[in-house]
Amino acid sequence: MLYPAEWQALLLTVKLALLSSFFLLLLTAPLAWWLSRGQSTGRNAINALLTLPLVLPPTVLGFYLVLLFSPDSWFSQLLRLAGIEALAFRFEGLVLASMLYSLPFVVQPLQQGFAQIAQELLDQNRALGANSWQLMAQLVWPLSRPALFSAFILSFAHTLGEFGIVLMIGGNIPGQTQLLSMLIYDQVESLNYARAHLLSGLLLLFSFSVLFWLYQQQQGQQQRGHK
Amino acid sequence: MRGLKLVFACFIFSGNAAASQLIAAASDLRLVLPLLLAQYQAETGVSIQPVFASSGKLSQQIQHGAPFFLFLAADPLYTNSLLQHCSAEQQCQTGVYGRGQLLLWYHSRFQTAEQALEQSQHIAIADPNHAPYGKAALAYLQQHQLWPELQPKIRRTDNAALVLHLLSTGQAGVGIVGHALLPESKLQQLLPKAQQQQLQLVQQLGRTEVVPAHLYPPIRHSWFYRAEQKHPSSVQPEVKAFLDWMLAPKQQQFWSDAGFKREHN
Amino acid sequence: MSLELKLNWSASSFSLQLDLQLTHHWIGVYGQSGSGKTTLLKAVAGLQPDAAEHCSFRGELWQQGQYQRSLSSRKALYLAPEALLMPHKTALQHLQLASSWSKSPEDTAQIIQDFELQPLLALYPSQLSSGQQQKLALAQALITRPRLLLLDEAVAHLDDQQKAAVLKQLKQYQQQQGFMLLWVSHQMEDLCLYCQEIVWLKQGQLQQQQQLWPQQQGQTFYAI
Repeated sequence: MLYPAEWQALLLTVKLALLSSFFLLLLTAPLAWWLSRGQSTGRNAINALLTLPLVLPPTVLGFYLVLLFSPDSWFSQLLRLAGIEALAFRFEGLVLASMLYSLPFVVQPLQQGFAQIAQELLDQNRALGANSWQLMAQLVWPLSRPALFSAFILSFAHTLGEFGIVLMIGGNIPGQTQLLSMLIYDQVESLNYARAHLLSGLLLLFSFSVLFWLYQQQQGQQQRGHK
Repeated sequence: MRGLKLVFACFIFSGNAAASQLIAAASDLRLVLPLLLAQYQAETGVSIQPVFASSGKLSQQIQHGAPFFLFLAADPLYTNSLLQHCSAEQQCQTGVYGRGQLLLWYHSRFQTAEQALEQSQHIAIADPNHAPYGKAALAYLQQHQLWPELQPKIRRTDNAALVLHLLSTGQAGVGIVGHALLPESKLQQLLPKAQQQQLQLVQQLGRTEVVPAHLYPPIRHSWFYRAEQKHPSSVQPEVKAFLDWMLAPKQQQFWSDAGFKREHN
Repeated sequence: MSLELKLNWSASSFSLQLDLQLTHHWIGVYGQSGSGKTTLLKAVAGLQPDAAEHCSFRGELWQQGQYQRSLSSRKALYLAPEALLMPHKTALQHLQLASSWSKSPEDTAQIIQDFELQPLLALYPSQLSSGQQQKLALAQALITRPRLLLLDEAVAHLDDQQKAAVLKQLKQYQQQQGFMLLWVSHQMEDLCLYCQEIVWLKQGQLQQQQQLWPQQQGQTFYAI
């Protein structure tokens, strides 16, 4: 049903979404934890910064990334010192861009999830004798799992729909940066409406299924919580 | 569940397909270049993949490090500027290989092209800022005696191929496109069925006229080639071989069917 | 001196100034709402460090200026009016976790029996009544053999009969384990029944500190 190039784009898209969501979760969880532990001017500033990708057009982010990734930029020169080739038009560059782009979709649910874990409850169990690892294993991890899960799914789904930034920094290179959204755009431009229909339908169905599943999961958790 | 995780892991750590034999091409070649590449593959067995965008965008991308070793542009402006940015070890070359033609398409509810320009609400052209066919189309409209009335009706699309999209969906009554996007029927027959149908739709919907060449500055198609040393050298001879093959007299018929005139220097 | 405490704290419309020396085992804290009882308890527990200037317990310095002894090494447990329980753990898991975290835990089976927790063990906090939750929190605290127990209306949701049974058990454990107990309650009768000393707060100041001699215990505090 799908041509090799389409399979390639589909797999690349899913791979990008999985990888960037995973790394994003790993990197932002400690930050979200800190943000959830109270309020301060510093926290507000960080929060505003992290929410920027939500309100800025992707072109702004794309523009800065184009400058940053270009071979002569200080960033690329720094990478070269570390033995890494310039990130422009490469899959690794897209991973980095998607992480920036999906940042608010991970930090917000994590922060809200973490905030549900009352400081009083942590203090109480610390006073009962639990050390930090025990608190992490018995309290923080089980109570924030739903939030981690929603954050991952949201970031995953959001990355599937990435287009504006990819258009600017990706270069539409098969196997490296040609994502499903780019391929659809390409097919429309080539007047290949049949393929564009098929791929769009596929993405639509997939995104709907993911979101539907997410809501089902959330409902399940709420019911379990009210036992 | 564990099996699923394993599949995910395998797939995440699988290597990226080598983005090897890539060439960048201006959007007006979107329909005909794949045909030429297929022909090349049939003759030599070498597969080359094209990446399309407007000439301006592609030259920007190449300047910012995009891995293209051959670039087919629709204006020497872009290839020359890339040549200027080349370092000695990159061994860059450029050349002009043909002259593109403008086609004026108008909806069949209009009697003539002139009437269509006068009465249509929208005139679709590619963005003159970075698409050479858009620049030529704008120049043609500017010399037209009705220019003041035409100017507010101009609708710009991101590149040449998208003009066709506006026309086939009926969003614009008049459009100016590169001839290569509406090639001779001999070439059209070679296209995938879906594309053929769309082109037929456009042709049934309206009429086309070749815009006289003296009414706009020449659209000179140029190529840009660089042999960068730090990349695997195996890639480049194949791209270079394709360039030589593409420029050979044997392919001249193809280019003229695709709507190009021979460039006389 | 068992517990020495100097509090100096002010919020927008409230200030708390206290200098207390407490020696008895079972101390009642009485006062109207907003008199600073909860702040007093939390400051001792180390949950409100900015309220205390100095705090030491049985010769061990708990707080002095910037110095703060860690919560886990104080072994002082504050039990809030609404029990703080883990929503995803059953009653039994609460007891088992407290037992595993403690270096010398009390016998869990004995506590379950003494506080009649057997029928609740498989239930989650959301399935318990607020009185049952308080009972569980108290049992959980006793498993860890605390040195200081700070009860903030922590048995108020129990009915009179159950409260009497729980307090009776608590008294026994207190005698066994030898912990000190600060008990905030609105019910003067309860305080007089169990406490050896009563601290009466009024608008953040010490109104009265009264020892109850054994013969006075069981009588109503005369100052009321």
